[in-house]
Amino acid sequence: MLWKKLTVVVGAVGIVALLAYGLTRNPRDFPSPLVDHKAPEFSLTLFDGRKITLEELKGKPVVVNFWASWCGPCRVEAPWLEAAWRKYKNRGVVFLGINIQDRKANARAFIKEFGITYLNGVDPKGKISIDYGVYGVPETFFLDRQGKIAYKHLGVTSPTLLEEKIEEILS
Amino acid sequence: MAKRGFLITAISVTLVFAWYLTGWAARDNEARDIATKIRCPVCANLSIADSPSDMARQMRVVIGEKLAQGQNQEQILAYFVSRYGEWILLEPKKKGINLLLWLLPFLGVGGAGLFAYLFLRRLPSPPAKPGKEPDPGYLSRVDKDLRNFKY
Repeated sequence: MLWKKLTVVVGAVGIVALLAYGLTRNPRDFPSPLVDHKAPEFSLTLFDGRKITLEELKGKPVVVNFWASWCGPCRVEAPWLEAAWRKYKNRGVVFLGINIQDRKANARAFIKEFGITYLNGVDPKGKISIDYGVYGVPETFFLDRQGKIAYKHLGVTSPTLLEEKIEEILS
Repeated sequence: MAKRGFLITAISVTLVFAWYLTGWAARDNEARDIATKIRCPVCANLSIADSPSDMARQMRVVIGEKLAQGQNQEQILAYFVSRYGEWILLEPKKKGINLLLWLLPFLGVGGAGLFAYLFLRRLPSPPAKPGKEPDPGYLSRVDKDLRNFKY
């Protein structure tokens, strides 16, 4: 009888613990199938009208940041991204901002407001973001010199994370 | 003669148009079918067929383009899985560990039924209470009342 009761209690506690653990997890935060694979090619029209392809950046570490002007966390990380770009541009790192689900005028105002100087373009039909499996903004991809996605970050980054991941793709 | 030529042209144009429309409708149905199987990344448990979000609309456009390129449903779903992972499918594939997801509800209901059956069977049935003998005086009063009862 004691064993029976014990089994029921242990079983119930187990199920509750499993559910509680599930609640602490972000349902969208699981490894992207793209990590450790070659980054999908794309051609991006920049805000200044020029076009850039990923192919052109071959051999350089690239930080790709998907953003939108209406997104709060994007505003938080915008100065950090610009600071990281200024710090690492002389070491050959390329920063690429890809504006999605936005209005061009608002996006331009955002770039001006934060004094963003790295390359920035629009993905008006969401083709690039879908090809990169983007859920929402911001999302940041770190591409190594071989064009492989070394790491994908969901949500707002941090100055420490940016430095750490950029050092990784530089090495 | 000219009339006949016109008729033939008209029929041909109609047939080509009908053929085009049928193809278009079939592709549209197929696109919708695929869209119902893909989870909208920015919504809570909605397919991209049912979501009004920008992202869902863009994903539906991608499906349409891939169908127009001649890709089939399986290839298109595989494309989305290769980008987003299996999470993007509203219904997990019925294989491997996923099979557990499909079987567990049935096992759960079956187990609960078995448990209820065994539990109920083991409950002791309530013993029948011995009834009290009615008071003879009371019984004769009832008999008398019944005899005299008139509708």
